[in-house]
Amino acid sequence: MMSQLYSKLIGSLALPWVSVLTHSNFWQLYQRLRRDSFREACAPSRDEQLDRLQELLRFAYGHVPFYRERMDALGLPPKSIRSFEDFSRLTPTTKADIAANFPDRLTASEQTYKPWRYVSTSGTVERLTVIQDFRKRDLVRATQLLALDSATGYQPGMRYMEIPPDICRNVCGVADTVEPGVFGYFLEHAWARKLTDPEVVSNLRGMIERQLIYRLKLLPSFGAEGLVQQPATLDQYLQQIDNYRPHVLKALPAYLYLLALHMQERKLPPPRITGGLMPMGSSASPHMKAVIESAFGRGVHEDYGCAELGAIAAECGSKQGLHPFAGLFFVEIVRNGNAVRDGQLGRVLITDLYNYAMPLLRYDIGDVGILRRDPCKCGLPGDRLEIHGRLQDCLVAGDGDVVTPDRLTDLMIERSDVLGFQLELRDRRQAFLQVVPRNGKTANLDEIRKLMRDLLGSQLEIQARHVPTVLPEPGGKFRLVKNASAANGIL
Amino acid sequence: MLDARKDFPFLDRRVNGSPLIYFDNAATTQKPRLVMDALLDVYSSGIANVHRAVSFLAEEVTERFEGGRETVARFIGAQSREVVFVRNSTEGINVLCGMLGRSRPLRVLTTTLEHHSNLLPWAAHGQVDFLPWTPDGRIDLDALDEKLAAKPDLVAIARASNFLGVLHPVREIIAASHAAGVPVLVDASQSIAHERHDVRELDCDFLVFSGHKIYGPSGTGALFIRNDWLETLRPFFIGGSMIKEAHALSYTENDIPHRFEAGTPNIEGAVALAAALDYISSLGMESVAAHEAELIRYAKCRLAQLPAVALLGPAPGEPCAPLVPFQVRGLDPGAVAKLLGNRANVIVRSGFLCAQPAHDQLGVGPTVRASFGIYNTKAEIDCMIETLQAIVRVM
Repeated sequence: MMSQLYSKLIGSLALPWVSVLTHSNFWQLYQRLRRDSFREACAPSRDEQLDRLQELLRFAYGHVPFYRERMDALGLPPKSIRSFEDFSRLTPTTKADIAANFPDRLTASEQTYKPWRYVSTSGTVERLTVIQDFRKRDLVRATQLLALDSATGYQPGMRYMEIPPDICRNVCGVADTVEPGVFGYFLEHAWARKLTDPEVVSNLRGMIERQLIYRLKLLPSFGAEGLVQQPATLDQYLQQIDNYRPHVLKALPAYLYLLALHMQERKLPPPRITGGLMPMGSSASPHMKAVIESAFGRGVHEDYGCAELGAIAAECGSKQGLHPFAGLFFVEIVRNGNAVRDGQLGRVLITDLYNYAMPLLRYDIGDVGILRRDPCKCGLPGDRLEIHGRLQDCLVAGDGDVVTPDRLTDLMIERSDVLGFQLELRDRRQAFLQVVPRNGKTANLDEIRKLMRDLLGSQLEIQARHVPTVLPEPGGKFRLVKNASAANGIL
Repeated sequence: MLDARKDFPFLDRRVNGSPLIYFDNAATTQKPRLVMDALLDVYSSGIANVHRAVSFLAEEVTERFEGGRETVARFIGAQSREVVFVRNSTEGINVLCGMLGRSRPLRVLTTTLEHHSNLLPWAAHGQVDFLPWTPDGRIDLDALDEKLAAKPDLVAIARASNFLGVLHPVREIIAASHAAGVPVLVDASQSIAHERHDVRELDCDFLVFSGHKIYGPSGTGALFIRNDWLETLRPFFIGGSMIKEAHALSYTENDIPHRFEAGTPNIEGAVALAAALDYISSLGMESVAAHEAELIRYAKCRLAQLPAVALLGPAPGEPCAPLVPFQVRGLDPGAVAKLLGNRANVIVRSGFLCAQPAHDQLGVGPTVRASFGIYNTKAEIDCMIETLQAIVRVM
């Protein structure tokens, strides 16, 4: 009851005032985007979307050297792009393009929505930096809230909890998850007469947003022990979740899965979560989702986004795929450069329709996915997106089909003798498989090798062994499948 | 004018059509061809284990290995028996920590500005007290006598900070410490490649450095132990090579310094380290110091002209090691390092630089560090500045 009242106060009183004081339109944008059951965000007309795209193309051509040169080289000036098909002739923007041209050749020659800011990705595979203007920053905030709302009905003022992947503070110097309380920080800097210091103002704004508006509580990552955690550690996490009673718990899928298995094995009651669970950092495989939902007694809702673009898509309650925020992004799926059929797997390309500081046209985000055009049960028109993992982690099956990391993950963890694994493909013929057995038993490695060969081809030589755990990558995420052999050539 | 560039093959490499600009010399240095040749020569002439066999090959290799020790000793003004080969400074400090703290926990006086390697081992095995320092990294010597009055077991101090580049007055610290009866370890990791070190002139008890920071191979380094300490210290590592004779439950220690070097040493590394030290000696340490002093002065002056860049450490023109830490407003240091690398092949370091307590004490987040060596030029610094200008121009 108190929580609902607090949420209403935040939404009706605090946020409108915060918007005025900070000159931010995020709250208004969010409300506009969620109008009419999210139609504004997810289901603009094709004409509206094309108009926005053409406006962006004209801007990019006029102000961004990289895109002007690229369009000129292709003989594809903005005026010649009259349809989405015309647009698909533009070469995708790769991460290598960004690395080689950032910032000056990829950013606009005039700043329209000041101030600009740099945004860096945590980057499991590679770190990337982009620039966003103030309007885009507002949109990022609005879409992040929209994703939470669409998936779980979350509203500002409700309790929100995250268990993010570990971050390497010492090497990378990324700030850790512990920050001082907003009131303590305020008093400390008021006492030191530093409240007008721009950095203090910025920090305070962030703390108010996280601590008072989102009521975000961060739990530390599971750390370097990787996939095998002590039962007492998992008990502590469950206790903390239960004590906080969040509306949404967002965590690395591996963490949610380990907590779920722990609850199932020990027949523990689920912690109190009023809304739902959301994977962060990567998607959860179908089997992981099923285990998590069964153990927690709450739905697992996906969203999709990245630091350089913000939230791109989110699930509705029907859980039939993600609804792309088509009013803000143009999403394509391509295979070998060509658009794929409805329901066919391919590379995900995103065009950010609202980043005018650093336009990203047909940005190859590095993921593979599927677009479905049949109607969703929720009634919202427009495409639905399924993300199947990182392109770099995809493998080629014996029959030439693409095997996504999710598919391989489920093949392994559906087995009762496997807790986790890591498959590393050195080339098309040689793979190393590390298996973490479940419950201290041994896994049937011969059977697993056969399963793998059946899927990936009999020519594949697999060296398999038991390991006590699988460790996370330096950024804290797990890569269960690593493919060193020309992954980019697959799709 | 120092002309070392022709000696470094890495400068011939082209990435996207441009050469590498290596400004991460405080982390490790590139290797001259002489060092590569020395390594290759040990292998191509035939390797044997040292000190053990009587074959001409073993004697030949042992002679080269011990020749390496003599070169190291000569380079720092020591006797060869005072030089113990180690893998790096970190190992040297841990070995010393283990030997000095064998019977009881040590009380060590140091600073929070030290590299983790000269801080954490002492803290892990004993009590640590800290000398205060100013925001630009200068140690408050007024506090030294008071701290020494507590009779710590050791003062452990770097000559040059790997974070701020400040040069600590180790001679004064050693003199004051000795007057109080306290021995001193000098961590020369960040200074060994940039100025002359003479352990007799310094009058230090111990000194340690890594070979890879002075153009030598990784996995090499030296711990200097002054003569009068050699007989009093018992070996930290026990095993083969460090014994004269062994029985099931006892052994007799080998001669000094071999008793401190258990197991097969990095034979080819010692030979190549000697080649690196001979090489830098041939350039002249004074010429090296002058070249690098000009580079760091120039780099700091140019960086200071960029409004979005905040410099840390000694002000431009003040004496310091050839490294400069800085931050770029609005941009995380990892991104700055990545951008410099992507856009101009400029390799710099970012993060807490193995000096997180010092960052915490200054109240600053992670930083970017550019550090220079004998092959760097002002033109390379110009390239870094121009790239930084391009990065900050859009803000």
